[in-house]
Amino acid sequence: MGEPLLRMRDVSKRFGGVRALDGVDLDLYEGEVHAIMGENGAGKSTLMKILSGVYTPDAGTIELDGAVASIHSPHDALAKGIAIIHQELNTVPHMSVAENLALGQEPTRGGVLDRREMRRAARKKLERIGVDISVDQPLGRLSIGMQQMVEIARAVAENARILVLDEPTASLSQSEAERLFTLVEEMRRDGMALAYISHRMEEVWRLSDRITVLRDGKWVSTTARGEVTPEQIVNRMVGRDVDNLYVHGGRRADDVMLAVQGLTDGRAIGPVDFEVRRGEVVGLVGLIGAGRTEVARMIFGADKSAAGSIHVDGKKVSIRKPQDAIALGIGFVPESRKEQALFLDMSVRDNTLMSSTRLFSWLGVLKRKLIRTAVEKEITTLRVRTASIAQVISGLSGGNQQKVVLSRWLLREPKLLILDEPTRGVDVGAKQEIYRIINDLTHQGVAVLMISSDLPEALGISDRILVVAGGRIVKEFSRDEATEQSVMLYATGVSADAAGTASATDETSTGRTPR
Amino acid sequence: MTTQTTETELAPRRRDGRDFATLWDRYGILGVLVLLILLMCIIAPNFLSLNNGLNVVRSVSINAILAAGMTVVILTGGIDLSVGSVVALSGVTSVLMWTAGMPAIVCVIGGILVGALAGLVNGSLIAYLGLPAFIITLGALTYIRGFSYSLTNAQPLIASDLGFRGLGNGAVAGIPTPVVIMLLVYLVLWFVLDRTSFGRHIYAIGGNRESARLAGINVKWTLVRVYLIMGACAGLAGVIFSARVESGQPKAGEGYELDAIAAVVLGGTSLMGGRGRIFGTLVGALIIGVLSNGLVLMNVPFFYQLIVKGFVIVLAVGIDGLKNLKRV
Repeated sequence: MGEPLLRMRDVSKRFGGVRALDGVDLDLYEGEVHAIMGENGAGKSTLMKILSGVYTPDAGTIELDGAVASIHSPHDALAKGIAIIHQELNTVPHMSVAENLALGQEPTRGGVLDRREMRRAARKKLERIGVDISVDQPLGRLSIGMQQMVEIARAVAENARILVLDEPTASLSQSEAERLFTLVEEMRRDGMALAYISHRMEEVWRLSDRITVLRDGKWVSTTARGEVTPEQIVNRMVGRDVDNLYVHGGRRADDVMLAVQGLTDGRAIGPVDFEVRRGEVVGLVGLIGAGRTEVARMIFGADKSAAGSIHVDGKKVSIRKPQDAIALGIGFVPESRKEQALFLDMSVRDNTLMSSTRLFSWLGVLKRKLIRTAVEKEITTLRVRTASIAQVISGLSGGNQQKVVLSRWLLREPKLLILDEPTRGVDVGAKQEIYRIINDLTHQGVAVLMISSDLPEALGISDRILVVAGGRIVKEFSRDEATEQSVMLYATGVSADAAGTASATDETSTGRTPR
Repeated sequence: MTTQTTETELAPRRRDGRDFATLWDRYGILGVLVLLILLMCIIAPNFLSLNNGLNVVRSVSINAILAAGMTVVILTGGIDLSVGSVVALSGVTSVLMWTAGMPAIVCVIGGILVGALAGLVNGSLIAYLGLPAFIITLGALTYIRGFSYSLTNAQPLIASDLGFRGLGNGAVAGIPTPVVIMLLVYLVLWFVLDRTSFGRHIYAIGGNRESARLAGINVKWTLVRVYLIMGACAGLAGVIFSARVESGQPKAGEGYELDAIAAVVLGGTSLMGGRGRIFGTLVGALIIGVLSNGLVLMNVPFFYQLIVKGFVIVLAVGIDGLKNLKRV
């Protein structure tokens, strides 16, 4: 294999009293994709931020091409050929593709912006990664996946030899991700070294040559992909065996809790018909953009529906705004925790309380003792790891924040919970705890409607699977029938015939007609 | 899992009231006030006396009452530029009611209600039509000023026998009445913000409006009530102003909105909403008051006073901005 391009040895970094990294080693070779895995908080991002010059290490050495190097700043990293693509896009949507590509290094002629040169350089950068789009259109008009391509084009331009990708597929559709994978493989062929951070085992398995696992800021292992199994990697990440990751058991579906008929937004979504019973989990699956979230939001009253009826507990109801849904015993965990659910500056207590203030007040004055007892009970039941309920929620890890969002609804003892990507950005340990919570809820007779883009998860904890494509429910599977392959076949609409013939022989035909 | 800290990367942001950053966040501005007072004791002649102390708090009270209401508005991420004009309209209204022969208490309530009504109109336009608070209240600043001029033909209404002039010039147990009212306003609003569900909703809306909506908070109605409170505070300030000058002044309160906003920001409330505390605002208002008073005692010309005041505001906000930069 020869000499590594990059060698990090014994790298440590502290924040206050906490060791974020403790003596970590990492080698990157030319022409390899090196996956870095670990739970949230394991130190992956800190390591990558040291590599890309955002942080300086407290101890340890970094060698580039066998010579000790120090990386002072992101700018310095770039000059040394190290580029990073962050999880969130770092682009200016209303500026053109060319302007974005030139950001910070705009070509000038006599002090005036040289537009022609800017566009020529942009085309060259895009060409290098094999993307052919007009450089004059505003970047925001492109799909998220294509925007990310532009960002990669900006990063790898010129002399980049090391590229760090931090959860690059988190917000990509299947086909956009495919395109990214092809690009990753091309860059590897071109001799670049890629550090690839991802939670998704499937893509790690497909792309990576070697896998390094971190846990609690410490290096656990670096192994060639062929020498381990995904189960072993997961065990190393969590530090123990995870059998039965997907908790499912002891359920008994009861009366119909939610019945949706002909629900549509009058445009792209619906009409959809389905039911959710007490004590069961119904998985709403499909590709990103298929309309799953839109359906959930209409049921909860977050968005307006144009037509259709909703029955809760056998009674026809009118839900025009979230308050109506909440009053009927419906809870909603939205897909984007920080933007749609949390109050980042507020305490764990207030975040839990926020949908129940009326239940816990008298003439508008909060009953503080009662609140403390109730919130502490939920926090304990859900095993939220927090210093106290007065802790500001932004200090918690993603998994614990998500549990607080769940506790907000559990405080109201809901009849129906709608969960939109409940384990997104949550580490494996916390995922399993969330599955356990969901399973416990079904035992209490709660009906759960869950959206998930993680197919193994959806199949693992649902009792029934509804496949959404093009804004409609195209297929229902029972837990036993559903396989990843069969679900994907319908989700991707491989052929309209497939859907048609399947529905003809569909033994679970409860008036559901695929289009 | 149980032995594992999943918060490693976020741990430095621990903020539950015991670390230094939080203490500075919470009490730093109080330290600035104390330092300023000490400084004035040394350099400003006659600053340190009971009389002058009362003078400072009395002169601060009207701005402080406006700033209290403004804190509530800014906590939701909004702004109210019309409060100065509301001070004039409410003051003029209460004096007009007095000259029309109504009992003092009715005049006072009438003045406050006029302010509340202005707030209700502002709040309804902002909440239900989704219009930007800056523009709506900028318009209100102009038309409400117009109303107060038209009510008085642009002339001051002198009423030396004003029945409620005690609100401006009286004292309760040696403490000037406006100061007592101001403290009551702060206590009530502190209670509302900290101890009621309405208060929690205010912080929630300012912190994340979409989260608030999806959590089932009635965002629009909450906003209307917030602007109504602001209006009532401005109405109260207007009545006190009239009581103090024993007349209805259609020009009263010009530029007061900016002093109120300055006090709020000095007090550490984020203009983005969701973060801040009402007593910080009181400290902010006192800083402005002490500074003005000290400069007057030192015979600093008016225009230099403006320069100093402006710099102090920029400095305070600048320090706050640097603090936030570091946090990231």
